[in-house]
Amino acid sequence: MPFFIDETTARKKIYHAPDFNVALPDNPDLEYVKSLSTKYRLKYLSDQSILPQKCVGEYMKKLGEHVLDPTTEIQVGTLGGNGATKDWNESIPGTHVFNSNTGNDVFFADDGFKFHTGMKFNYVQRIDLEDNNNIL
Amino acid sequence: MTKTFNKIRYIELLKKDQSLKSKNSSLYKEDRIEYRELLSYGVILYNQILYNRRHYYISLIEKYVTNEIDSLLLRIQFFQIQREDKKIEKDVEKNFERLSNVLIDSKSDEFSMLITDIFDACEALKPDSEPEEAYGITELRFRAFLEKTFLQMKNIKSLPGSKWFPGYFSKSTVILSTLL
Repeated sequence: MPFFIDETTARKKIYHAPDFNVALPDNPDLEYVKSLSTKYRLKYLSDQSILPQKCVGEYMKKLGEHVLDPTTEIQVGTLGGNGATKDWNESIPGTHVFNSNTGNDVFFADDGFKFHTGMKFNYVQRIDLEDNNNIL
Repeated sequence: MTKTFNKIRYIELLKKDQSLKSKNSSLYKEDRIEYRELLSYGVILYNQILYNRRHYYISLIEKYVTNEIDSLLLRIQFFQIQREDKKIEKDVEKNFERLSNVLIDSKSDEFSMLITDIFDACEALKPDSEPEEAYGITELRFRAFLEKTFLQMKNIKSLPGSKWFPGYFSKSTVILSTLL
């Protein structure tokens, strides 16, 4: 089963990168970020020189290694089932690639087997996956 | 979910899991019923850690609802606090004496449900540029949800801070907190 990890989504989910032992860059310009409007903050942080390609690339590499790890298990399920009960949106069918040793999970949507998110689970999320094959 | 926090059984399962891990296995692989039971105790401990550190969450959410920070910075900090909570839990699980002294506050469950909802909302937040049908919630709905949840968090009557899990922050979060 081919899975795809694209840079745009990895960049969007970069705040989970430390879960995969990827350090977020030290950002000496947070004061500057504060001075920007929301629109320009997002643009600023999308700048590859601010959130460098190296960091995003490292996150993608770690996600790939997680998927290829022989101790990682594949489990068909959903994402967003709990949000659906709050009328946020329909849950997304897809595949969880979960490693019980690290507690990390990467979710690929059925639609194109595209990367959707990847993070370290807390116990609540582990139970949700165990009982309902779902997270979030 | 096991509601009773049976610390003796929790420690017994932790020891069993550790023993199996030293042999390249785990409760997850060997006994899914006991693994599930271990998770249920882990949730109770985790909820208490969240509750003990509630002021960090309340302070962060307040910064967002008062427009001091935007949703991106909120998420970066929120997930950082979550990582620290998980690290505290791992540390406590390794220290059985400390674990056996943990007391559970009845409000921790209620508070942690709000944090779980915020986590889900942070993950579901989508840029306004994404199509209506795309998975997730808009910033407008996200903000409304956080405002409502913030009030609920404040309404959970606070008790004196815990002595079992004193404030625990990494250098990076302290720096971020100072800057934000």
